[in-house]
Amino acid sequence: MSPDLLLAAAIVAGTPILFAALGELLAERAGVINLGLEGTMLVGAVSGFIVAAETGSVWMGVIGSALCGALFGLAFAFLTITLRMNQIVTGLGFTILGGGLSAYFGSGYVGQPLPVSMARPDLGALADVPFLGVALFRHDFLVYIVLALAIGISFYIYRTRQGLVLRALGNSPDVLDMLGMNVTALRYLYVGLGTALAGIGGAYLSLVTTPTWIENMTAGRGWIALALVIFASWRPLWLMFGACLFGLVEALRFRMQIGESASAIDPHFLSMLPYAATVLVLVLISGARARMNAPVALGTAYDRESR
Amino acid sequence: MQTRPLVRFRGVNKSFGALQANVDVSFDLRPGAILALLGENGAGKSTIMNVLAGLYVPDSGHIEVDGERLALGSPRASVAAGVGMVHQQFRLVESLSGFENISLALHGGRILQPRSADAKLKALMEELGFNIDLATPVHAMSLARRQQLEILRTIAAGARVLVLDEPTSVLSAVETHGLFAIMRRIVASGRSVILISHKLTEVLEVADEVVVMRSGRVVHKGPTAGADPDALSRHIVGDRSFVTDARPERAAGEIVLRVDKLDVADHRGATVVHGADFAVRGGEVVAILGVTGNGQTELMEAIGGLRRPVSGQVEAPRHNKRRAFAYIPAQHLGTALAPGLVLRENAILGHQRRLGGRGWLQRHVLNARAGHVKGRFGVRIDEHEPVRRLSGGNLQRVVLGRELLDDPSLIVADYPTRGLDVASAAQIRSALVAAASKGAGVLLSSEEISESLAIATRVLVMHGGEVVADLPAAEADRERIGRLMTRGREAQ
Repeated sequence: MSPDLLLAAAIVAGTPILFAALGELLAERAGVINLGLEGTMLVGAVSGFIVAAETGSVWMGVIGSALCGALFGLAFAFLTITLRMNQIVTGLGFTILGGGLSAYFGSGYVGQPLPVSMARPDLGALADVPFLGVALFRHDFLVYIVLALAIGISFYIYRTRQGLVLRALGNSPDVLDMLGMNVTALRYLYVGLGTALAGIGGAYLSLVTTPTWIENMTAGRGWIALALVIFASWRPLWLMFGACLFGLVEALRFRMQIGESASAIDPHFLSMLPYAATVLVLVLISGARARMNAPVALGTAYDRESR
Repeated sequence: MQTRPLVRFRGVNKSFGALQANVDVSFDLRPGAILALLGENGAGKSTIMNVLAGLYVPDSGHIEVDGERLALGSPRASVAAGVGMVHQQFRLVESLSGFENISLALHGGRILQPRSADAKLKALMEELGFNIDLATPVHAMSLARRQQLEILRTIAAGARVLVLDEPTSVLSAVETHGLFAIMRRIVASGRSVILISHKLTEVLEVADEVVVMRSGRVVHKGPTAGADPDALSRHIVGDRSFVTDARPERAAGEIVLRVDKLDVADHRGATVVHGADFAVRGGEVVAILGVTGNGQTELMEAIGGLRRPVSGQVEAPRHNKRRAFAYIPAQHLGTALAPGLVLRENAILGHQRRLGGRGWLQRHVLNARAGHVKGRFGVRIDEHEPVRRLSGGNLQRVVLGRELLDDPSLIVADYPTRGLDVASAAQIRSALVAAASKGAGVLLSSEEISESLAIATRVLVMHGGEVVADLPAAEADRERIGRLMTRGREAQ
């Protein structure tokens, strides 16, 4: 298989992971670890598909998935930020809840084809550049949106006033509180934004990649996105490369099962590769440096009167 | 001269669970004045200031700033009214640079983040006499620098009332005088400073007015000019006496601790203790004196078992390869105490195997032990609160109470009176002397020469990681020890 097609496939496969990982990065930078990412993606996938199928517009589907993802995330935020429940346990619960909710609401839509598809921008001459044209410039809108988002979020975090506040929020919420900022509202905001992005990541699967609704169609991509955030040490630009890397593993797995390049390797073994890569990456980067960048207050509810 | 007070506290009450932290607290703060809030650890000084800063909501009472009632329980309202507080534990984001930390408080309306200080901030630094490199990340700054950074941020954000909570506890003598000069410059411009302290001498040196608190109540208010130090100390401690027992007279007994050619490295791997070699006998009180950062803490940690020595040996009482002596580390929470557990649970840490002999812990045993620990040095705590809510002094009392409970034959204490008020420090010194008179060997580190000379039978002076002198306390004089502490062997 030609390398330009493989790179193109890697970018497409990495897009839903990058959406979810950027969302998780925002929440974790704010000090909230949302292990319910997988469930949030499923909620986004099913709501995106239903809205797109009923309205006949993929863009409405994308918006619907963002809203439903954010709604799901705000429920998580209420439990962990307002009621100060344990974020790990609540997150795991929301993974299961998301799986269940999406299966319930999607039961009437399983296996239906989507009548509409995501548009691709016409990049003119760029699309005809040898190698790069196929690899980079013939994708759908959401691919370019997520790449722009990664760059935009990086700029936001490191160059803007609110980005500085976000960096402080996950490390020392007490400082912001003392300076008169509303820690609770800020955390709600970032968890809401983050889960909206995760919802779009899920919808990318049911609107573009497959395009149909199948139960549990995220197949662990939420967990991969979580691992990716740690891999990238909470830096958005690194997420971009990490997502491409995982996309590549996934694309390879797919290509090695079909056509003339099909190998003699057991397909089940190949299906395992992205998850094995996740574990490997986490082991390789769980060194001191990755931990150093971790938001200090990650996973702890803020309580003003406790020291 | 009769000016309108800048801040008036009116009948403030605040309780935590069953503990009354503030009872009917009322006093005034004049503009341009340094007011000292004096009292023991746990007297309620920090609590009333946290109410002023909007961090705690009082049960009743109110506060006026410039004649206007302050909206209570809102840090934003307090900041807007011109109240700025520098906490004992600094409120800085360590991963951010000095400038970014200040910017958090200043540039609320901006969209893009400014990258360096503007002329106004530089002028303010000039006015206050600060020389801080604002590009440095906070985690790389010394404690004194961090404190200056917080003061700068607070004033840059428009504070007219600056509250400093125990600011000198992290400072050396020289840095303390620097801070006092800064405080005088701050009030010269019409702002006011509230200094929370338990050190009478520094209060008399720098403050204009003093308010003394005891057990949550205001017990004395007045100017510092012409104040009688003895009367003030009586206000601070009440009618309790606080005389330290003299050093033990008993002849030295068996060797209980032997430190043999010990080299210890710090957390970066640099060797900071070189060839420490000494012994402590039963009945002795041995004080290690040294300026902070000369290897005392690392030496004590190696003896206590927190730090593996690079080479050399420590021989100390052990039972089944476990430590069987009292060890009071410098850092309490997280090392000596589990912050999230209640007193009863903390009181048995380290003894849980022995006390749980039958395989489970018995409630009456736990309660009895907690009662002893609490009663020994008079800890004030609500039984059901996690110990992290305790003030620094109370934490120290809990650790000491637990460690001294089973009459250990050796007591190793890393600066056990650090940050304590006069009465508590005397109480703890007496307990150590009493243990030594009963035959225990005591090794303590300290920075206070007179305290150490009062109770020690022998003094070890550390400088540059070496024990540069080993003197019987009776022959040691302050001047000589001071020279040894600051200049090492060349002083001899």
